[in-house]
Amino acid sequence: MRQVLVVARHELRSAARERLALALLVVFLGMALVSSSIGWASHHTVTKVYEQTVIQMGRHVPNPFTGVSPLEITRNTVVYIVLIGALLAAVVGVRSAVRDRRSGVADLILSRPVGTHAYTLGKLLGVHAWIGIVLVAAASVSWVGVWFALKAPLSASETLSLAQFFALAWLFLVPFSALGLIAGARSRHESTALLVPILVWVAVVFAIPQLGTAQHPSALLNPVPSGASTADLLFKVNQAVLGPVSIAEHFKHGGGAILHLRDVDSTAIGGDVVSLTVAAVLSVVALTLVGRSSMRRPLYE
Amino acid sequence: MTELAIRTSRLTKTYNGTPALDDLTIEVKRGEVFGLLGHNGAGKTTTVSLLTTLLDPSSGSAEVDGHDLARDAVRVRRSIGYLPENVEFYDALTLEENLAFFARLSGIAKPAARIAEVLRFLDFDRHERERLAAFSKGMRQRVGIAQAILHAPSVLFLDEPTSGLDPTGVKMLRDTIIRLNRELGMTVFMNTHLLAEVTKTCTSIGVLRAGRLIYQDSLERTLESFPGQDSLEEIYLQIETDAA
Repeated sequence: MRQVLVVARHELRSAARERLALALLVVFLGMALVSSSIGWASHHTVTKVYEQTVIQMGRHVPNPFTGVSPLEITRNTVVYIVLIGALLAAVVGVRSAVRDRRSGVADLILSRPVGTHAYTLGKLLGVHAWIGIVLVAAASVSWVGVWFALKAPLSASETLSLAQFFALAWLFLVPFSALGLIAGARSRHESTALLVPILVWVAVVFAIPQLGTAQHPSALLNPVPSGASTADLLFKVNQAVLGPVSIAEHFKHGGGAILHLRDVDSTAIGGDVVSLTVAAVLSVVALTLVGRSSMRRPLYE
Repeated sequence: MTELAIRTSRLTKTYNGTPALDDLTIEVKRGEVFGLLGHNGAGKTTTVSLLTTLLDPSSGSAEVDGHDLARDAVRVRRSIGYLPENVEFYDALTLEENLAFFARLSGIAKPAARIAEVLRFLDFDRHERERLAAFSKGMRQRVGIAQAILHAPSVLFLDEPTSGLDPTGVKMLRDTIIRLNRELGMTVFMNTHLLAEVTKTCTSIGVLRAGRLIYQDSLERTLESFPGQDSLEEIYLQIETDAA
C-alpha cells in the first residue's frame, strides 16, 4: 500500500506540472462557468418573457421556474462531463503511461522493489486524484456561478446535491482514466494509445446509448432520457443487453436526478450508481492485468 | 555473505524460439568492475535485463548478492542499482523531486538527507532545485547514477553508461564509477562498446557473441594472455575472430 501511495503522490506532482493536466483544469473550470452562464441566460430570458406575458395578459400565472431546483442552472455540466470530461480523463491516463515508457523511466521503476500492481494502481490513484481536484474546483465554480445567477447562495442540501453530483462524476470518469492507462501501457505506438480510448469513448458515449435507447429519440439529444418509449421486443432486448454497459446514460440519469433536473425520474438512482461502480471496479481489475513486459516494451512514435 | 556478487548458471532467454541469450554461466566477484563486451545484438542488454529482474529467464538460474532471481526478486531489487541506456527521467520535476521519488520507491522514508549526501558525493548538489528539462546528456547520466546509488546497493548495473556522452562526460562518469567501486565498495556490472573505457575502469571482462559467452577473465590476465596485441580493441577482435 505504501508503494501505491508513493507512485500516486509522484503522479499527482507530475500531473500538476504537465501542460495537458493544467489544460484539463482550465477546460473543466471553463465548462462549469459556461454551464452556469447558459443556465443563467436561460433563466433570465424565460423570466423576462414571463414578466412581459403577465403584464400583457393582466393576470397572474405561475413562473415556469417556480419549484425548479436552483441546480437546474448547472444542467449542461452533465453533458460536458460525458463529452469532454471522459475524453480528457482518458487522454490524461494515456499521457501518464506513455510518459514513463517514452522516457525509459518504466524500466527504472520496475527495477525497484515495487510490484507491477502497486505501480499501475498508484498511477491510477494519482491520475484520478488530479481529476478529483479538477472536479472540486469545477464544483466550486458551479456553486459560485449559481449564486451569481440567482443572486442567492445554495442551501446546505443543494450544496450537498452538487457535491454528490461531482462525486458521481468522479466515479464515472474512473473507467476512462483506467482505460487511458491501459492503452498507454499496452500500445506499441503512441498514436494507437490515444486512438483506442477515443474509439471506446465514442462507443460508450454515442454508439451503445443509441442502440440501447433509440426508443427514446429525445434522449439522443438531451442530457437525460425522455419517458416515452416503444414496447418493441428488439428494443427491449437491446436495452437489457446494452443498458448495464451504457455508463454514459447511467451517469446522465443519475447525475440529472441528483441535481433534481426537470424531466428526470429521480427514482432508481441506485441502479445507476451500481452500474457506474461495477464499471469502475472492472476497469481497475483490467488495469491490474497489464503485465511488466508490456510496460517495458519500446514505444514508437 | 557469499564471495560472489553475481552468479548465473545456464541462463537462457528466448524470444519466439530464438535465443537472445544462450546458456550464460558467469561469475562476478564482489568488489569487481565487470565489463560485458559484445557487438550490437550480442545479448548484453538482455543479460542486464535478466539480472535486474526486468525479464524472466526462459531457463537457467541466477543469483545476485546471494539472492535467487526467481525466488527472491524483491530482495534482488533491494540489492541492486540500475542505470538503463538513454533514460530521460521527468523533465518537469526538479532533480530533488526526481530523486525523492526513486528514494521512496526504494523504501527510504525521509529521502532529503540521503539525496543531499549522494549529490555531494557526486559533486552535483548545486543543481538540486533545478528542473531536468535544461540538463545536458552528461548531467542526466549523473542523475541516473544518483538514483541508482540512493539506497546504497551492493551491485550496480550500468547499460552503456557512456553512450552519447562527450569526452568530458565520459571522463566524469569513469571517475564516478571508479570512486563508487573503490570508496563505497560497490560491485559494478557494465555493458559497453568503448574498449578504452574498459581498460581504464574494469577489473574483469566477459565477451558475448550471438547470445553466448565466449570469453571471461580478469583484465590483467587478458592483457597478459595476448602478448602480440597492443590494445584491448585488438584482443577483443582476436577473441571474436577465434570464436567465429
